Amino acid sequence: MELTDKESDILKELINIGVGKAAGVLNQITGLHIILHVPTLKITPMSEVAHHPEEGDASDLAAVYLGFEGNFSGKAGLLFPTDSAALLVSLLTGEDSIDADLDSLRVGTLTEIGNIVINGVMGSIGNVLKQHLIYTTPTYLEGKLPSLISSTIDNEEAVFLTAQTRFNVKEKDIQGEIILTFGIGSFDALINIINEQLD
Amino acid sequence: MIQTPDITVRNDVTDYIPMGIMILRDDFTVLSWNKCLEQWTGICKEDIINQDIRKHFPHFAQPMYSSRLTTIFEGGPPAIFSSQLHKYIIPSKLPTGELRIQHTVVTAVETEGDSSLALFAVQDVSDFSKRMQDYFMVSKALKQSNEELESFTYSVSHDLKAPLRAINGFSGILEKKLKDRLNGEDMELLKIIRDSVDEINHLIEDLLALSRVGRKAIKSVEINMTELAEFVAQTQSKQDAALARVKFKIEKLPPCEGDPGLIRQIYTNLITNAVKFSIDETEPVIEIGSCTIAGDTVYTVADNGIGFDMQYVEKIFGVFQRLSRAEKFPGTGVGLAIVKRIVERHGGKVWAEGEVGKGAKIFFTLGKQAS
Repeated sequence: MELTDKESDILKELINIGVGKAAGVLNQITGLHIILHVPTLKITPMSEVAHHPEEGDASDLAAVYLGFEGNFSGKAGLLFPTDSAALLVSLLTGEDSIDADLDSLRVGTLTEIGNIVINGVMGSIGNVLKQHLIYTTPTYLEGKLPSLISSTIDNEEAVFLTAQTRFNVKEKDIQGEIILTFGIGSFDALINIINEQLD
Repeated sequence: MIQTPDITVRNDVTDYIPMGIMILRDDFTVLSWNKCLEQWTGICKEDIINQDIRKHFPHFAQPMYSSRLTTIFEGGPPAIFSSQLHKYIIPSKLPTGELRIQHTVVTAVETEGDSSLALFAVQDVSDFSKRMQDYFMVSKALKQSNEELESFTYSVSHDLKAPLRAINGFSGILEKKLKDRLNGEDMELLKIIRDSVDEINHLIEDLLALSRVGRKAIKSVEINMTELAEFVAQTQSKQDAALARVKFKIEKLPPCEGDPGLIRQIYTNLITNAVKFSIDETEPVIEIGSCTIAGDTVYTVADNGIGFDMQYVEKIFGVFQRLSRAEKFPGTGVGLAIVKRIVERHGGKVWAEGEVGKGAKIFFTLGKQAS
């Protein structure tokens, strides 16, 4: 699916508004100064993602996902390499990390962080485009990229949107990815709504 | 009350759920408060339903809660309040007097009106949270004392070397100076002093090597284990002519991911050991192979030497633990301890099997296997 520059800019802006709001919420909760950036946005058909998994597919990832349904449907997730996820949790909670693994307590914290970021993004898309969506409860998943993707959506006609996300906390940069997967026709529906609403 | 065509359930079903359940309207009025919350807080339904939650729990007015709840009242995605970032959302005391640690999920429930209701599901995670905190503290203390012990071993070993050099040097000078005046027994005594110093030096070198293995940062790359094992066997054979008698059988081994220098050290130590304990056999054979156990690749080094009694198997990998006489089989008893430490630093396991007079076989796994 080819996007015009304008459509791509609007999508990026919607995600940026969302992560900006999420950063505000995280600042309120932790009392820290957290900056969130989304420097790049990439749209890939699922068939390409499934056959050519991105580099680094062998490393373990920690992901928080929630599903959405409405005029466009799919799943929204926030993914980190497991050690970056553990570092982010340690920075935000101020608790020393003993190892790079995520225990259940830290999984709960990461799920809330993912929840806040995804809610920011989905909230911004829903509000600006005046769309009412129904959501599932966020769930935590751990695994390698191909298995995480196939567990979120298994249709080759789906569209996969990735937005690189940088958390800047206590002078440390932690990189993750916001991933939105759209079911058949849903991404077209989203783009049509963008064009209708914002023309 | 729930009604289906055939069944009517008396009471509030949320009273049967072992979690705190609360429903708020968009003006923060409590519409539902289950028995679990009554028990936790001591606040009865009658005293809180139809009242503003902020009267009882003022923190709900703070933006970090109110802004996220506003999104819920607008029908937005569920919100999670985790136990590490919030500790609790409905403050309530445990019988011990400590506050109950909670993990809460708030979901929007659609109504026929414009706004949604906020359904709170509050889970008590105090017990788990306390056990994790205890575990963190114990792990932290253990890590710290291990580091201290490591650094103590390193500095003591290092500091011992200087006086040893002095003993060795001065006894050498004495030997030279007094050569003509000393009798055979005196010379023998001096030799014992210098041999003992050599022995302590070897022990210290091995201890330092063991300490370095624990401190060295691991740089993981894919390793061709067949080439590595062949290289170590060839190098050792070149260094010691006596090894010409030893027959090495090296199978094709699966690759692994690990630190090449450290993995080479594993083979060096295992082969050195295997040679030492089999060299006196009529036909010494060292077999290097691999197998799969419960899905894990296991690398093996076996010899047909003196073997060992399995009742002492636990001692094999300990520091300075020796199952054989030092006069016959020289060594400090640190080689296998180094192997164990390298394997563990790679997230693997090491174990041994043997039988007296029939040889020994060492097995090891490495955490990551190259695909």
